[in-house]
Amino acid sequence: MKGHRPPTLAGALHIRGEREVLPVAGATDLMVGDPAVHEEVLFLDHLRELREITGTDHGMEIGAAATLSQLSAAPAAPDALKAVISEFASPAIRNRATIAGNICNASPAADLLPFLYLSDAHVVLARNAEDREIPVSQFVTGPGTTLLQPHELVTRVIIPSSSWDFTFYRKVASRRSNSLSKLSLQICAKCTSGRVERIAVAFGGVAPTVVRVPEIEQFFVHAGRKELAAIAAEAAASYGPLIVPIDDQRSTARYRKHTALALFRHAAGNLLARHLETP
Amino acid sequence: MKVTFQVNGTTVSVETEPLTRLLDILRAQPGLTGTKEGCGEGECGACAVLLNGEVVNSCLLPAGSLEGASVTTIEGLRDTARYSTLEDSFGRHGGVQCGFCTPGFMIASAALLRENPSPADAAIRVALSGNLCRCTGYTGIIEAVKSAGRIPEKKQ
Amino acid sequence: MSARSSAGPRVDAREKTSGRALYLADIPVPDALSVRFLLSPLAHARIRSLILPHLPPGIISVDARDVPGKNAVSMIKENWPLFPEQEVSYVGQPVLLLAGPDPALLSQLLGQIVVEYQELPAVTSISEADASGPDHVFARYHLDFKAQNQQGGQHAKQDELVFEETFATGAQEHLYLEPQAVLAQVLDGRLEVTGSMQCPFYVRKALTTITGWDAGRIRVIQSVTGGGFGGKEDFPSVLAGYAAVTAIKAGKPVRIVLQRREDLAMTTKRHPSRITYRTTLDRAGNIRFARAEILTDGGAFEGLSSTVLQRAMFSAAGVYRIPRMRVAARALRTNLVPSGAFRGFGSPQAFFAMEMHMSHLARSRRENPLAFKKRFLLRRGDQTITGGLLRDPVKLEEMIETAAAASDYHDKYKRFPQERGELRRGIGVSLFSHGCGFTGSGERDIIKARVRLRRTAGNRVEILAASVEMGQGTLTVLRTIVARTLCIPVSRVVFSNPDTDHVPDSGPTVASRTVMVVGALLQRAARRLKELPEEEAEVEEEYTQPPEMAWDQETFTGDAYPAFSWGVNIVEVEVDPLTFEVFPRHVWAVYDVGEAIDEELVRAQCEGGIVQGLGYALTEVLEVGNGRYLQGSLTDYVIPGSRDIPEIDVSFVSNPYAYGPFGAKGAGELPFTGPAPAVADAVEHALGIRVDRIPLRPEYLEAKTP
Repeated sequence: MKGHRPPTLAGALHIRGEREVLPVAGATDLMVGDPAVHEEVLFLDHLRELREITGTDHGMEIGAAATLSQLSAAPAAPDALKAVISEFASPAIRNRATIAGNICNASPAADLLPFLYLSDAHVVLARNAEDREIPVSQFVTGPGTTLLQPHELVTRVIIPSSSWDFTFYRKVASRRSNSLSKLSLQICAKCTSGRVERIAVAFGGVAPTVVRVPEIEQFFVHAGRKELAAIAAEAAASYGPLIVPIDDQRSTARYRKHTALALFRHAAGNLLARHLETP
Repeated sequence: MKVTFQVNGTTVSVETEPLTRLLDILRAQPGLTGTKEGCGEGECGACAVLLNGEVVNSCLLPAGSLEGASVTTIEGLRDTARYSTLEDSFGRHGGVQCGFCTPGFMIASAALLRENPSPADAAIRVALSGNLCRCTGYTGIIEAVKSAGRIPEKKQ
Repeated sequence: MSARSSAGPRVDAREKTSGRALYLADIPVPDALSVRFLLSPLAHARIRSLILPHLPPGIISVDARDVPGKNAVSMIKENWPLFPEQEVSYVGQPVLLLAGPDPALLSQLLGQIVVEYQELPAVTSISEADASGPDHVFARYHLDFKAQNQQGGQHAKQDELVFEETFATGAQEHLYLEPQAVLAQVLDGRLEVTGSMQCPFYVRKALTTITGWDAGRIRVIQSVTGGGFGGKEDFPSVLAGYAAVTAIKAGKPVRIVLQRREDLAMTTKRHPSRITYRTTLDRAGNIRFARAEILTDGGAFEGLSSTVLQRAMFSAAGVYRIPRMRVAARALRTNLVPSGAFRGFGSPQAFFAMEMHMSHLARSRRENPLAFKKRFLLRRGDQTITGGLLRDPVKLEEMIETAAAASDYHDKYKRFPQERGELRRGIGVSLFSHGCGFTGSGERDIIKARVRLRRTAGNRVEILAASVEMGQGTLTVLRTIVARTLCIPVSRVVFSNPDTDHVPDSGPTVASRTVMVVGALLQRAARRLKELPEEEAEVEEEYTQPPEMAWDQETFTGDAYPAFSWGVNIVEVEVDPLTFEVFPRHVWAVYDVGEAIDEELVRAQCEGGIVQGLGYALTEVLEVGNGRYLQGSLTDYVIPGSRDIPEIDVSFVSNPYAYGPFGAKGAGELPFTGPAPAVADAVEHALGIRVDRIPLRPEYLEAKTP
């Protein structure tokens, strides 16, 4: 196996553009599997250009190789993102795992993907000198599959700024310490004058990819406290057919579906209602 | 691939496959068997070391990421004042039984105390959430770290 | 409550904390060969053909044909084959092994082996095995107990109520942090085996059978052992067998260090159980008669299944006076990885079922479970289920009061169901015991423990015994016993990891016997040594059974154990009614272990046992699918971590045992038994449902709750 460790991002892009290489940053997933399959590996975790995190007027830009620990400590990181990172694996893993790695791994149970979907995050892909930008929700196409082309690298993740005043995050796992997710749910809302202005909902671990459906989110627009329980029930019924989890060694399809919808009804019905009550 | 990095202040240079685990590189060095393999999948923390001051699982660290890095293992940690405090505290609070997980807990605890010199229970549990122990039930370990945290660090 | 006593920090703390302690994988053996196993992918199949690739020089394969002696690992019987000859019996069974200097190359070569299997029908559950006939039964026993002066038959009278229910407990993996490991080499015509193990003399005995060599040519040394819990009681004999046969064939040292996934797949697990109680109560709620049927899953080979089953039977009445009880018990054979010894050894399974059953009987009468159970508590002078006599005080009532007061049990029992918080709270209780030491006359007739104490110049005293330190504090506590008896500092007492060349056989490190039995022998030896004036002197002590003990192994009557330790656990939980996750918040534990010689050590053991018991109750899932346990990595086999543990309060009552050193009884296994039934009781309280199995997966609780 050949390993490349170019000193600059330009060098990395060049190698990636010319050769069949496996890009590696945190390696926390790669090192558990059977790595012998790959012939050439391109290391990215040392590149400072890929570890920068900046707040902009429009949100934040995160270097693809920024670690989750770095991200959690960044002032620009929204609370909703910090909530997710705090439940991600363990400190030792967070010190290595990267946002790009979690996205490109594209596990149906990936911890960060629900947040990235509901915040309309984009990935920036570079191929030599050219960039393209795709919403994460389009970039991930199925379990373990993305639109990443053989000679492209994810260089940045862009998270538009948001003004959520209500966030809910629940990861359901086998234990509190360091556990893979059975399912997760994140809800963010912006409310004005006792009514919902906007809401974003994303389910993880209950379908081949994250379930986010803007059309169902529309049910909540202008909703006041009293209507929420009924709207949440209606929304849950609409999500139902789209929530299609599997049985595996961690959990069952029935449990994942039941729990995802129960959590949704509680958060979008009761908790959001309580939030609307408080001026 | 040739990688050159620091282990406990000493320069180490190896020629190895890009995905060779740091754990294996360390354990092949004379006298560095304190870092253990408990699972090989980043779940148990027995292989924890400090990489540029941060806790990582050495079973997940590929050689290709080591160039220029500074690694501290339990063998390096045990010469520090912070270690002495922790060793004493673990001994007094029943934090050690079979001992296999203990070096990993030392590393994680030292990293915590550097960031948060007097941590409360919740912070300790989070900091140690990547280290598994089967013997102690964690209670003695958490008490040991809390107790070590109350002792002001003497500068060496 | 006994005053806090501590011998000071344990003697091995610093070498372990600093990373200096050398476990088997740390010992430098430059020319040792590594081993990789070819594991069966099928639960049951005939091996029709097997083709090896060309093996480069320096690499050998080892299979049944290479076993110099008998291809069998001796445990209670000799029916565990080291290598399969024609048939594989479980997924994960080693078919053969490759040995060579480079493990990566071995793995590659393994992938090139071509095996043709003819699949055979496989049985992978208790119910399938139960329906499969006598050749699926490893052992079958009955107990028929009738208390003295009991009238009446077994059949329910007209105004009596009969309750029948069935409980299930799952398999469990020990998950010692140090995977199993062994080193074997032939030195000067002798076989020398070093390994992570609980019973060096068991390993030596097994090797005499496998090699055909006699014991004098075999030396077994325990290496620093990173946890055991019973998982290193039986399996090390198997692993040592592989290493020894390979070392003899290769003429080189062979070191086997299991990777975690191999360890999870290959090594023994706790016996799953299915236990049915059928109990008759009279109108006043008195238990008249109980019948228990105990079925365990022994996996593919018998191993220790018969003795695990016996202990389960002897635990079937819990801590209660049952005037008439019948127990029928069977250990069944399945095509799963063999079940073996694991802390509690059949007792946790029986106590889970009995405690839950008693709690359900109480609830059927709208009585508080604790109040109901208190009516039937055993007392000094009562008979045990085997017709033995409880000669020592039983302090359960006092322990219950302590735990109930500390936890505010009675108030919470009433208050919690009325709460309307987001999390449902529940409080549960369990009452339990553990028979200390080997069953019946096992100590006297089978183990025949001997210890030696040797005093050398400078008043240095060396302990020569086979007891093993695996974290529970053996190296410290046995030295403490000798030091206190001789009135010398602990630092003058030496005790090394046992080496069969140098120590007498004081028996295996199992069955909560190390302090109570071996410690007592050392105390007696120390008393005799104290009387000897010579600077250099040596004494040997042999086990003698307490004179009052009487046991008939054929009929299972008499004193099954010389002493019992007792426990009360109260557990408070929170349950999330949306996700059905159970969060233990507080455990109050009161124990009677006679006297705690080093209270800090015992407390630490209890805390560890409690957390391991919580894992058994809640998150440690080994589910059968595709003919095997599906959870095969640490990602999927989930033990409690630092964020999962409750507050734990442990206290002890003093109840000195006449034959234990300084009054001590056994403590290693007792704390494991309490949490599972107490947690289940608490979950029932929190959710208002009835549960009948562990682990209490959220998936199970969700399906149970309307």
